[in-house]
Amino acid sequence: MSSNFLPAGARDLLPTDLIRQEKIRHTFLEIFKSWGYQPVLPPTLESLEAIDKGRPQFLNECFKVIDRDGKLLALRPDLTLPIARLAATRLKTVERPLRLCYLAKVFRQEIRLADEKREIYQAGIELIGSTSIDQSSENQNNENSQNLVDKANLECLSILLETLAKSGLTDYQIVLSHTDLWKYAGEIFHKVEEQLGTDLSEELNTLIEEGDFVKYQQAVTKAEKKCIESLSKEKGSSELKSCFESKSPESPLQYLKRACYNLTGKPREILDYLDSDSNLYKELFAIIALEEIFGPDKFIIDFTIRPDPHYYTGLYLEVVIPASGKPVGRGGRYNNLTACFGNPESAIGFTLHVDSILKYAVHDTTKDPENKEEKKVMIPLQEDLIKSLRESMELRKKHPIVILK
Amino acid sequence: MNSLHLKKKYRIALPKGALIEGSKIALAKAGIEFEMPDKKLILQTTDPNVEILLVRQHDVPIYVENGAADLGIVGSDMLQEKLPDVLILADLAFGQCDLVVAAPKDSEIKTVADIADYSRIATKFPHLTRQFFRGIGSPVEIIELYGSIEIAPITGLSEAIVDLVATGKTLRENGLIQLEKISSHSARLIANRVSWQINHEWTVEILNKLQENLF
Repeated sequence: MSSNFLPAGARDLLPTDLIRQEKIRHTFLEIFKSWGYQPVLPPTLESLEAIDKGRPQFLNECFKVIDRDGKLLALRPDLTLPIARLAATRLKTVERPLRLCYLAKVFRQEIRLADEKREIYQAGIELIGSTSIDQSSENQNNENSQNLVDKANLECLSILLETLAKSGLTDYQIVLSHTDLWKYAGEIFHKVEEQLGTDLSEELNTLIEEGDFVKYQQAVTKAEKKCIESLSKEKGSSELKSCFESKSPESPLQYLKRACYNLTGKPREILDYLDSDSNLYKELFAIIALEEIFGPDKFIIDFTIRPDPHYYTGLYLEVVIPASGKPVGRGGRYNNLTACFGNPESAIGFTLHVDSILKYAVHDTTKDPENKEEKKVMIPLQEDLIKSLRESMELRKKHPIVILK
Repeated sequence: MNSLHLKKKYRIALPKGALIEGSKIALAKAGIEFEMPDKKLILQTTDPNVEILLVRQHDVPIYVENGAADLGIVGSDMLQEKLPDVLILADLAFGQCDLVVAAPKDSEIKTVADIADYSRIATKFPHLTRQFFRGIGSPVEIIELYGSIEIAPITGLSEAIVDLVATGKTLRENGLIQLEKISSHSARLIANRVSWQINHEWTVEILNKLQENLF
């Protein structure tokens, strides 16, 4: 008889799994609460319309369910989205900032990896409405608004670093990126881009995002040829001409060609490329200062990760551990999300994949009280069942586990 | 970096077969040299921090995508076929070959336009083959094989094939002629995304040495 009853990507959690999960859940929740975050739990079913509005990329990945009236529902593919909906509707009149946290499952089906897990246990926080997103006041009072952004960033990242420190992971780093990169990515970068036209910038962006540095370099070479041709026709300034024709490593085009390799690295090295007066520099610099509290080498900057510009509106982060080839958590700023539900405000948060963390965390099972044999008391059942039960209840006041034999 | 991290050896996944000699020469430029005793799949190198994984070409992107190897060398054909989520760092410019459509010399088929609708095409590259024939609006049936594609038309399994060609010798020996080139390919250096972030300095150093003669 076939025994293929378990669907692809599904998993039974056994007692030992649940004990570990419960323990880490407790640890995380206590940290979140200590920073003033309160737990919420949105429904498992969400209307597909809400997902389409907030984050259409999830439409392909989410499990669809048909309601009685034929309306399409989805098993929630994410918790940030329903929490943003909640913040913009029922919690609209609650005092800001809202500090909310969650520990719950989301449901997804990966298109490419059929057997990847489909129920993902997530833990995370959302800080909503901590900064003004009114454009006019931002321009008037830039300094102050950047300060508020920094405050929210540092709160969010401090909680993340404290959570990771207590998660049992021995080695982890936070990779930072930002949606503003291509606006600020250094003087030379900018100059070259201007000369090459804006089209290329978008193309290079996409190739970097796809991780194809070979095609990226081919695109630069192609643009370079085009530039040299048009320059020789127009007899452009000799300075510019030499800048494109030069093959020295310092020339802007050689620089641009190798830029894909230099967009990743230690924060101080990457920050060197940025204009120190830019908001991007200041924002990242403020975050890196957290290493003073949480220890060195906690951050990597990687501008090859391009945060989805339709969703993220600033800082983007991923949590990586050397043992896993994939991020075990992510987060960032998404100031446009609550607007989808009728109340625009700033928002920042992170989410951790609890199961991935448990997989790589160091865990001493002998310390679990449930595994300590001496803590278990077995009592034989006597003729008088009521008397036995009463005795066992008395014993439970002193012993953690009392089992009826 | 903490101590646990430093103890880890960097791993490079290399494909057994056509690209192995080129890979050896390329890595030697980066000071990584190794012997290949029979049947040994994990090889130590002259660089005490680096070990080599010898795997099938198909599996190189899988090892790298999942972080079991930090770097890998693989043909661009395989990357375009499997679309793994890895970083493609550099064109190593060896292992050059073309992906082509070929048919028996003595058949009616002289160009791809002669391939009748719903003809069978044998290939190791079903995704790229589908893409090509859809692109020219020709409906074909794709038969996925794992090797010896050239005998498919001789045995009547398929009307034509899509395969890699380096010199054209294998095609000729099996009575096949090239109808059209689909794309050109060569070896690529690929990296795991997280490894690229965490081990960036090391990776860029290797990359620079490999590219010294390319740029």
